[in-house]
Amino acid sequence: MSRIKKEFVALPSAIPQVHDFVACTLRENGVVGAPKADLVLACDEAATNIVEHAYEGKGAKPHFVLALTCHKNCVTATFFDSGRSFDPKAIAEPDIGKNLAGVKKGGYGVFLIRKLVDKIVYSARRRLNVTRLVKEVKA
Amino acid sequence: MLRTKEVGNYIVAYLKGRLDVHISGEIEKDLMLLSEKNPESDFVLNLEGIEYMSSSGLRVLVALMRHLKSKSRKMKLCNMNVAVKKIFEVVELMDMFDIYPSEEDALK
Repeated sequence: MSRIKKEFVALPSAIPQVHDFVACTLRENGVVGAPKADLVLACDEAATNIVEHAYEGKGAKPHFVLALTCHKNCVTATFFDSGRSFDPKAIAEPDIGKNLAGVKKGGYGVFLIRKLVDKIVYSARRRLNVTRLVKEVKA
Repeated sequence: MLRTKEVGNYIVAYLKGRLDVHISGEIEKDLMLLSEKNPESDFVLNLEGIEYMSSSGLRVLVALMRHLKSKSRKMKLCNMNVAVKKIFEVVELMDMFDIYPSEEDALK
């Protein structure tokens, strides 16, 4: 098992760094192809949610931590942030009709995460949000 | 800065790089500006140079399609790579867009 974590500023400019961190760590641990691409995208979406929603209206230096744990048969990506609570499991599925009508924008990020990983675990305790994405990978 | 060319009534825009939240706002602004400058034109977005796209990129495409459709103009996508195509399939948006294998096909 290997575990590595990194702290990022909660700004859009950090998203390419999240992408590179996840891609590089997975590659070094032998996770390649579709499972790697799925995890990179799922982590991008989870980090984007933190950047766009968790710290909206909050002034102080926002940041979040991403810890990647590579087991033999699965990878766990755990996000820690102290912004607004955001349970990805509680978000409704996107409605393309409403998107095209301009009634509601987006909603695809959480939908993508649900489709790309096998398990999402969320908890919020003492101002700390923990979002854990788990994906099974072939040994 | 977007690379573009004019072919008949179409503006072809070449998107490139990673279309994520970091860059999507800028791309959306550029595309909307291009639409304002060419108010009668239809659009072909050539995605050949897109190495990666997140939902932020999808949001840009949906916003542009909404904008153009409201003015009875067309938007076509072409040269989508396997990774980008997979995202469209996962979110079940393939049928919502006019998607062509090549720029030549899109311009027919």
